Amino acid sequence: MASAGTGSSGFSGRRKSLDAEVNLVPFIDLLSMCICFLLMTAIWAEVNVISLKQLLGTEAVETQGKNFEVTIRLNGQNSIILDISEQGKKLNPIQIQGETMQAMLPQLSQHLTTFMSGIAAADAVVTGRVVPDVAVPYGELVSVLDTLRGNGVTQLGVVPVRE
Amino acid sequence: MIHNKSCTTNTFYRHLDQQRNKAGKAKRVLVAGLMLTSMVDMFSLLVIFLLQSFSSNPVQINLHNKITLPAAVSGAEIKDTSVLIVSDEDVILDQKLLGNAKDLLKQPQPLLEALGEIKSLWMKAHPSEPFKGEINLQADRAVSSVLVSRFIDISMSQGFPSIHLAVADGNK
Repeated sequence: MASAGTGSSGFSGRRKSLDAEVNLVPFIDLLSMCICFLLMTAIWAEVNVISLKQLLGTEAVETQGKNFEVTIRLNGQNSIILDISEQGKKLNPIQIQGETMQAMLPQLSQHLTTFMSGIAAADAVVTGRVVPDVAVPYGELVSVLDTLRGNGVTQLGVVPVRE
Repeated sequence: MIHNKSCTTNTFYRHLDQQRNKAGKAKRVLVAGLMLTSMVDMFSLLVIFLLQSFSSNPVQINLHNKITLPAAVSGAEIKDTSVLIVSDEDVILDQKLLGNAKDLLKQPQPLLEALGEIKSLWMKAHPSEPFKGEINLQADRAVSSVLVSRFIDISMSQGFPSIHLAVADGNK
C-alpha cells in the first residue's frame, strides 16, 4: 500500500509509534486526473491576430475628429519610407535605411513614438497603411504592422500592389 | 558414518528429502515496497507546468502543417471565423483546396465563389444581423507580401472588410 512515513518506529515491541502514515493513493489519483484534463486543454502554440480594416471605399469606417495618416512604403529589405499626413496635408517624408528589416524597426518605432506623443487631440484618429514590396516577405510585413500597432496605431491596412 | 541420504536412490526418499529442505528454509516476502515520492514530485511538476499552458478560450484554430506563422507581440485574441490559408503552393478556404496561389490570382473565380457562398450561408443563418465580414488569414512568413496583399484585396472586394492576420505570439 502506498504511504509515506519515516519508517522508524523506535521500540516497536514496547511503545506505540507516533508517526502518522499519509495515504498517497487518492492524491496520486487526483494528480493523474488533473494531468489528463490539462493535457487535453493545453495550448501548445498560441495564435493571435492583427486586424486589418478596409480603409477606403464604401465599407470603410467613417471617422470623426482629426485624421492622421501614416503610410509606410517598403522599398526592398533595406529601406522604409515613412509618410505622415495631417488632415490631408503631407509632412516631410522620413527615410529609414538599414541592413535588414529587423535593424530598421527600432528606428521606425522611435519615429512613430515621437509622432504619436505629439498628437494633442483626444479624438484624433490615426490610420496606418503599409505598401508592400515584392522583395519583402510576409513575415516582415507583419513585423511592420506589429510595430505600428505597438505604437498605438490600431486602424491598420495593407495597400494591394500588383507584381 | 555414511548418511542414509547418500545411499538412497529411491525417488520417494529423494522427494522426502526435498520436502525437508524446503521446510527448513525461511519464508520469503514477495511484496516489494515502492518509493513513490519521486513520482509524486514529477506529477506535481507536470500539473504546475500544464496549468501554465491552460486556456479557457473556446476558439481553436487549426494550423496548416506547411505554414510557419510570423511572430507578433501586439496581437489580439483570435476570433471564430472562416480561415483562408495562403502558401506558395496552395490556397485553402475553410479546409477546401481552391488551387495554386498564382493561378488563382489570374483566375480568381473559385475564390470569389467560395467567399460568396460563405457570405450567403451566414446571411441565411443570421437574417436579422448585419454581415460582419470577418475572415482569418494564415500565410507562411516566407511568402511574398505582395501575394498576400492581393488576397487581402480580393477578400475585401467580396464583402469581407475585416481581415485578421494570424500570428504566433511573440511574447513567448
